[in-house]
Amino acid sequence: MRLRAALLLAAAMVLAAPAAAQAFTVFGAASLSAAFPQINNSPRYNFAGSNQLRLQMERGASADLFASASPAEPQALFREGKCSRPVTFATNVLVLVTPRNNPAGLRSVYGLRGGNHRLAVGTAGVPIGAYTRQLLRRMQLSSVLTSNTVSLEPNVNSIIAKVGLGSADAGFAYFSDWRTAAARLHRINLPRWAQPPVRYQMCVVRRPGADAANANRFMRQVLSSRGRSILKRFGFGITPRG
Amino acid sequence: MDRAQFLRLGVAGAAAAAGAGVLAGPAAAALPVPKPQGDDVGFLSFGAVAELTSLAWYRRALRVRGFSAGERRRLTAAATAKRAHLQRINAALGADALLPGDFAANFPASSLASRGRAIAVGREVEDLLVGVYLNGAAFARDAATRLLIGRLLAYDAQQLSWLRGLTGGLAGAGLPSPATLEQAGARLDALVTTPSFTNS
Repeated sequence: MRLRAALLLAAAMVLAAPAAAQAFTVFGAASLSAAFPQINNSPRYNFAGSNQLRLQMERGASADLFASASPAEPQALFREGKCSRPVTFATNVLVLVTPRNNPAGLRSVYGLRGGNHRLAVGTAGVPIGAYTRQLLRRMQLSSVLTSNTVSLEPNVNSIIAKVGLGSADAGFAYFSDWRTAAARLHRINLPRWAQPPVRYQMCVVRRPGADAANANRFMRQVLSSRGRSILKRFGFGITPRG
Repeated sequence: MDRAQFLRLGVAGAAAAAGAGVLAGPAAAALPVPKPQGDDVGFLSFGAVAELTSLAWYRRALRVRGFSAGERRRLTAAATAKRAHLQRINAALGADALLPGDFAANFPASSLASRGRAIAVGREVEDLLVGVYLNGAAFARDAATRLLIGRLLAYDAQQLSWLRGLTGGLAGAGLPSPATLEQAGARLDALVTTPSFTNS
């Protein structure tokens, strides 16, 4: 009898082991990489461009929660039945960043019309790249993407790194990214009227073995007063509760 | 009726028909569907934010003391027209359309403290719209977008003229100069806010 119980216990431990060993995983937009660990430092994080993260999840990557810099990716996963209904938890605006000493002497985004600057821009598929193109279309400045030497970056952290190192004269990033790297970067505000609606959404991933309990707990932490306060401190806009 | 009278009547009739078209405005006539190309989106995006601001102004102006009953009727009619303008522009913008809550008008309280001050703000917004639409009517690439902007321009120029007249200015003092988005955008930014983002 005792032996049977011991065997059952051992079997249960073996079966449970993979689940316990696999930490709860959050796939987050690169722009959240500074703020999210301050809200909760226990998950395993994978920060990258939201479009890349969606692709990884569609290919079976084991995420438990997905937080995107644009509604497009979580809404698509929701339509495919791969995640819960997305919830908006933060907003942002775009800014133009230059190295702190602004060697190109840019004073306004319109200064890019002259061309011959090195510009770091997100690829068209990543939210920061899509938002940048939308803003430039609104301002009738799409031509700056051809009149300047443009490096296409896979996510906003790459843009910040490139500009911070002086490998680019300027780059389009989120206000929150500038806030995090303000010691290295100079900020040029972009016209308010031309700002695209930057909305962050998150959802609980639906897949066999997903840790929905922890994902829901994490979501509540982000939406809590403390979570919102941390997001705000890192430069994000906060949507009204509701 | 002699030939001169007939011609005068014909001219008056044509003017009335054209005027009715303008007054009935974008809401009534079936226009070809705009398919903005290239920089056309800029004219329409600016128009959307400025029309939203203008709509807010007409609604707020109704709460300002000093407007006559007739003027209030005109303010109400203009607010209705502005809402229609916004819907038409948003339809043309498609995926680039404004979302609810993207922008809100931000008028300093003192700017609506009196009829005169309020009218000055209303004129400013109409002036921006007319300035940008003048460029749009001339340079939009898509013919249907040009036509839409032309119709919006006709209405807003009329409103600008009316507002000028309210403060004793010459109602028919001509159109403002065409304005680039850079010039007009800087002025519009002083009158709008992005309510979903208040961190900066």
